[in-house]
Amino acid sequence: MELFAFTREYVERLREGDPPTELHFVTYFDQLLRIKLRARMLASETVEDLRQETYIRVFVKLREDGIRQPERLGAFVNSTCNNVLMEFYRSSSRTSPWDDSYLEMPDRAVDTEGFLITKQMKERVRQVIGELPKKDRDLLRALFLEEKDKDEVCKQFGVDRDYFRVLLHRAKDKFRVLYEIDRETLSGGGSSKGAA
Amino acid sequence: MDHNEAVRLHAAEKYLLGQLPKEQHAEYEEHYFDCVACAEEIKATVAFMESARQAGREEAMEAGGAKRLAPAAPTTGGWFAWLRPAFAVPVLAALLLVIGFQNGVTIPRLKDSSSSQMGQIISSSFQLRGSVRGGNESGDAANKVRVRSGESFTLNFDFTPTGTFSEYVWQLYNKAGRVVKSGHISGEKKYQAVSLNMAGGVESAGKYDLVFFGSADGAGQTANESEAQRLTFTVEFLQ
Repeated sequence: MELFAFTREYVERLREGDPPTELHFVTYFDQLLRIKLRARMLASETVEDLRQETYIRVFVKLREDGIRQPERLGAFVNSTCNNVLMEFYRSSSRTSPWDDSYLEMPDRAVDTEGFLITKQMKERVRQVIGELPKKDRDLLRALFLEEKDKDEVCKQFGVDRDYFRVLLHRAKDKFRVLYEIDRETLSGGGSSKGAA
Repeated sequence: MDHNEAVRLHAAEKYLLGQLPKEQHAEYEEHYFDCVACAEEIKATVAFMESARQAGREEAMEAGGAKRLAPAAPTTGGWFAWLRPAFAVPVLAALLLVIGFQNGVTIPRLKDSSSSQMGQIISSSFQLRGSVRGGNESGDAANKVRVRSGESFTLNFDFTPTGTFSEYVWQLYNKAGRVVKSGHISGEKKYQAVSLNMAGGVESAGKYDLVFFGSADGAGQTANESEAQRLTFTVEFLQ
């Protein structure tokens, strides 16, 4: 997989409103922002509002002042989203006590419901899971499909949470290899990510 | 957190499963926004988890016809157990007593003790926003500080620096780019609402930049001059 780096030229194109660069920017950060906001157990409409607000602020700031470290564009987007989150919680705290621990929320699984999944991705997942031993298949099924309590499932299968995490990690890696091959095949063997 | 640490920790899986310790959670979030490889890693993990869920649902529907899958009910009572009458009645009674005590005794005393100081605090405190909302205002000039020349004032803002340091150095730059004030702020203040006192105020009106740098050794040495946060505001002098 070919990775890219954010550069001064990329940020300049973004400031000038270059449509392909804007599309790349939004495509790249959309899922990251959703993941970050979903990790806070916010309602889906709130996630959308905060995501939009983050984009607005990032674009306003970029167009008016630019940023001093273009290579750290991602950190800038994250920091802007943190500001938006803090203001959201502060406005919410007018009716309920404000707990500032919302920016660090461990021990809560991220809800991935609603992320864009293609038919091809599901087929690849079936292929990867189909190659697993029965016990591991059943474990993943119990956790992802039946949405049972993780500790309860791990106890039922006689494994601990680390076992599940490592299983997920290995299955994900296999899926990723297959998925990357599919993507390269679809894009005619070239990378579509050379945005920088 | 750097890339090697994120890989070693299996941070993507731990983050998504809610297993990342509190102190690493924000660090990893900062990292995956800043590291293209880790961004791809967490996107792939989400894609796998959601694909597995959707594929499993489809298989279950095919196998079981119209059998409906519902999330498992919690095995313990959870928060809703508090709504049972056996708990709710005495708890409500106790709450009413506390509210009555606060309204009748505690809060009037608090009001008495604070009212003499409130005017002074509010008159010289200004809220700074990290970046402007909407776009119809003229940039960060929306952050206005209206004081008299040389008058002390307090800046209130959300401290959301990038990077994690035990201490940060702050410097206040005037419009000529000269440092007119500086100080330190503890790393423990990260992600908190912070108040910074500008004792003695400033000598000239105009645009100012409040810039924070990570302090590598906690003794004021900034880490590779890496800027952690910048807040811009405009000072207007009252006549």
